[in-house]
Amino acid sequence: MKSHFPSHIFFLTAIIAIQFAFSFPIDSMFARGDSCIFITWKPDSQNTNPSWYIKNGQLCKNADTIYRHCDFLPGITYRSIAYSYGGEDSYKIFLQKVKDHFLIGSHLCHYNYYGDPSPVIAGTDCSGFVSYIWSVPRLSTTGFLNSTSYKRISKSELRPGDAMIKGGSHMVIIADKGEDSTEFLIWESTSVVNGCRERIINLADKYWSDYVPIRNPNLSNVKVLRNYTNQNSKMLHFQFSANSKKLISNIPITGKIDVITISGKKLISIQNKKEMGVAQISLPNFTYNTVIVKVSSYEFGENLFIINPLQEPK
Amino acid sequence: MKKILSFLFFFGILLSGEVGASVLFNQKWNKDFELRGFENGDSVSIGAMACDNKNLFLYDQARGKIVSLSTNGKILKSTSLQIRSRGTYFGVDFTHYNSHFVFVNDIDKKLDFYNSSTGKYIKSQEIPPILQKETKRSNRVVNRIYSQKGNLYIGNEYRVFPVLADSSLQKKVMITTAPVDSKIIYLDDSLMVTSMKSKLYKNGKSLKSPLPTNHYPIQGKRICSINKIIYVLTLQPQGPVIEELR
Repeated sequence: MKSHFPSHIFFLTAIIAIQFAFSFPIDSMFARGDSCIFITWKPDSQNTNPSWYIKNGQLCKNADTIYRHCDFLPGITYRSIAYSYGGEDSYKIFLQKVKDHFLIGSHLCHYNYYGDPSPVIAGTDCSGFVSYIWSVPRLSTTGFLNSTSYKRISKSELRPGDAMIKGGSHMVIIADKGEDSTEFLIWESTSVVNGCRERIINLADKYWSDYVPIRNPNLSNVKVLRNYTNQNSKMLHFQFSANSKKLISNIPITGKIDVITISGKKLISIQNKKEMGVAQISLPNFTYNTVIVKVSSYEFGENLFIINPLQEPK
Repeated sequence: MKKILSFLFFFGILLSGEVGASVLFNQKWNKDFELRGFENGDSVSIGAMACDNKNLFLYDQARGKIVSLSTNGKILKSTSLQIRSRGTYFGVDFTHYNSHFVFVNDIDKKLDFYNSSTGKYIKSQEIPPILQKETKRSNRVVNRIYSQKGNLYIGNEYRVFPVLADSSLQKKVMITTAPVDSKIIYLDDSLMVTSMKSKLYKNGKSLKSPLPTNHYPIQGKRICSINKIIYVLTLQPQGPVIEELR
């Protein structure tokens, strides 16, 4: 049987390609957020040396003597990027800083005494976190609120990918709607837990009445049909073979496959013909923790997959 | 005398919010509990409440302590928890289980155990990834822990599962799901009380008192029961209040 590429699939592919050219896909945002929240790291005694905090914690109030030493202890495995007021580290930069024995985590009182801590401290703060996962220039909370690049919306319009800001104070990202109409899953970097976290909030709580919702108009809501490749499924999925350095589909597929980084850079694009069977995409110099595979195929239509190639295939 | 009685009656109604609730504990901030501000504008005070078969326990997140109270509202003991990181944040929720305070450390994805007499850290165990197969992202969050009939249950307000020592059995546990438009509030013997919006239902019957609204958010449980009596914690502008709901 001759293979053919129906015109409507080609048209949809073109639309998706155009979206990728001019927007940041929401799946990339989820990949970045997950990376910040779920990474693991283990500090050593250099990462947690108290001397910098003792010296630069002089503006910390008496009640805040916990800020006179590092928030973390050596030898314990932690998750999520640590909180550092004024910081803006991505998960990659944070992990590299930990490896390079940077100190970990800091607070407003340290910033007020020392200034920008990023040359010596690893971590991010609330607006640094949002800047990274939205892939936008770094702004403060007030900067985001006053920027004409972002659109103010009402709380009733909130959807995943939007943010809420209390200017000069804090900002969070909406990651999901909850079961109840006033509940949302949010992501945030906060000094309360000294890290990044996801938590369920209820907008009915008076605390949220001071928050203003905003939307990033460049965040496209491209629908993800399957989030993770390692789910047991008879449907299409991909795995990365560390031996052959290839991304391989589990079943034959006919169509165009793009491999894209989470910052939107296209790594490779192939056209898999029907007679080729399963798709095998060579990625010999692969150094990315996470990539997005965009598939426009005759059999399955358009699909997006988020892949962590460094995980061992099951 | 009439004026005094009227004032006391009115004050009792004001505190309880509804007929059918009696106030067990009512304090102003900065007496036994502090409302502590953070640089991101958060105000942190009491993070969660738990009960065993005898006493109530409050997680004083502002100071990193567990405060135990009698069912008469009297403070019995204040136990400082051993700090291991993250300041005074030990987790999103906790329970009292087998002489331990067990916290859901939702940041590091662990259950952390502390000696309930001394506050000393004992051990941690990874949170089993049972809810990771949920398709909805918000349903994967683990932010609740319960102790029932000698077992630990964890999950969220819509799904819970037991924590087992045997890892091969752990993979096969059943997830208990709240009915549509309902939440799992607590587990008390064989009772599972669920809430529908602002009302509390007990085995299909509605209670007289609706749930009091919170001024400051409480991330963990704020309802528990002892001997079939339901206690609810509310953080009011003037201070924390614990009421007995009938």
